[in-house]
Amino acid sequence: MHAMLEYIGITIAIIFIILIAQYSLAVFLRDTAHVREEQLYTVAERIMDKIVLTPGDPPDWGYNFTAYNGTLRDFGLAQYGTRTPYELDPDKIMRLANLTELPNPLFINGSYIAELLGLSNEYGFVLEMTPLLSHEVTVLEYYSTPGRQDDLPAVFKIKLKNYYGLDVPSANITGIYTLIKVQSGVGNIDTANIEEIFTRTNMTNLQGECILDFMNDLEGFFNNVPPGQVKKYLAILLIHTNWYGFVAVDAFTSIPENAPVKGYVVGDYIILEKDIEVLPRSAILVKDEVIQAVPEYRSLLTVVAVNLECNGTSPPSTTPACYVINRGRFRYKVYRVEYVEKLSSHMFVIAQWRGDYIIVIINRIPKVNIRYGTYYEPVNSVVLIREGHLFNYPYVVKLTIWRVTEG
Amino acid sequence: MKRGQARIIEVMLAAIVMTITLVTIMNLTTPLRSIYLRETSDLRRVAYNILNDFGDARVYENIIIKGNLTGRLWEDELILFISVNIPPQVVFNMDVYVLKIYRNGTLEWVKLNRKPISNVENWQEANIIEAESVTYTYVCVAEPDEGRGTFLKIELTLGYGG
Repeated sequence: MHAMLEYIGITIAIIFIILIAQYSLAVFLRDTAHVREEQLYTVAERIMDKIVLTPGDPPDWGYNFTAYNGTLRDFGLAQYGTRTPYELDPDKIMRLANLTELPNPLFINGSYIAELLGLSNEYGFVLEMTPLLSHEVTVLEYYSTPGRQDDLPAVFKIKLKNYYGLDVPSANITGIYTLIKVQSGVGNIDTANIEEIFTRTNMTNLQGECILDFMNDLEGFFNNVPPGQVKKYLAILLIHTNWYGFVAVDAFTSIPENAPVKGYVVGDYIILEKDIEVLPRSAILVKDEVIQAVPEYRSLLTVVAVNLECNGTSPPSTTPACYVINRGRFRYKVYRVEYVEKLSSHMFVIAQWRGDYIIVIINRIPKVNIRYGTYYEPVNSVVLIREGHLFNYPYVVKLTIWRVTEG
Repeated sequence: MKRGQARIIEVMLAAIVMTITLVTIMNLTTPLRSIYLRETSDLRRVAYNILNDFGDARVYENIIIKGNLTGRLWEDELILFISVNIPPQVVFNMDVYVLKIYRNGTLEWVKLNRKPISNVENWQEANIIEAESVTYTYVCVAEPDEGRGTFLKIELTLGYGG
């Protein structure tokens, strides 16, 4: 009987000790959870600083992709050689953009970035980058002319938003309406020329909206154009916004259905869908915003020549750019541009597609969203936001990071 | 009572004493203030980041200097401008000072804003969980000409509202 009491006593003691140990562990974990969160913040801040303040290795990896064939030793987006913090390199940003219409052949994916940043298998992240100010363009009225199947957009409603989707009032918006004429040149080769530029300025209201009306300008211009010539004109609206010194630039053009009107500029190369034919002297560069402050809007746009580097259908050429871009896919046409201004925000390329002339708008201030790993809410994640610069335009960098084990 | 039973009781008592000691120590230990430390560190970086961006874009000249020269409500413009530039959950308060140099050589920072520059009704009574204050000095270099060379001191506090 006494031995039985001893056994019962020992059992109770063991159960008691286990329960106490569990409680102690729970209390300990509760307190150390704060430390773990702080460590996650420390990691996030370190990674964010590395991304926006260092150029990576090799430092010119954005445009000099042929020399390294895509091999990086370190990841960073800062402009090489700059002394200004948060100054980002447009070519490196372009390597992170991946358009749904045209996959980026030089795309650097989340897994590779995670590996370069030393985050593989331990942390997941989402890296989002977007212009601080963005425009929504709605065409309210078209200018119809005899001799054209498609009408030219003439009256626009512009809505200005910040990166959270808030409306931005009191911003000065200038619309630079450019008419481009395609005509036969020497040797019956079509060329594109900037024929006329109209400008209109307006200020956004409380809803962040304003109207830009070019109807009278177009009527006045086309009154002097012979009817047979009307169909040779293409139109681009370049939008320049100044909001107390913060500047944003965007572009709009009418797009034929299913037309491949997107592309990439990396270094001196333009990467386009292989089905379109670019006119020889047809790349229009939008110059740096600093120059755009000059009211002579015609000087903002420069026409430069483009040369076909590889056509995307035959086996890849031995030139390094073609070898890297068209490796195994033969999907892209690659052109070399005569001259790319380093700080050019947009490039327009006049091309022929299924018998029609189209304008390909290449935006060098793209929206970027790169993800590595998955998580399901709620998760212990850390979000950091920094405001960088791409050219002279404010560009928001947002990093969300979490532990894989907690995802 | 046998010796074995006495030992069991001793063991149980020892376990109880140790447990009580452990729990008491755990509850008396100062809580780790890691959330406070880490988030304010980030707020400080964000504050300097946006103040520097404003300087690069000549926002101070466009809003503060022009506002003072024209007499318009530049404080309201600045509230709107900052609100659009910071994450929505962040509250802020800003004070702007200008350096006055008197003929006798004395210097004085004079507050420029006539009303609070903040996205909360009453900053003094607002419930702020965590906050970080930074001071940024700026010399106006852009137009308007009347404002060139003006020394500004900007005190910006960012925080998370409770």
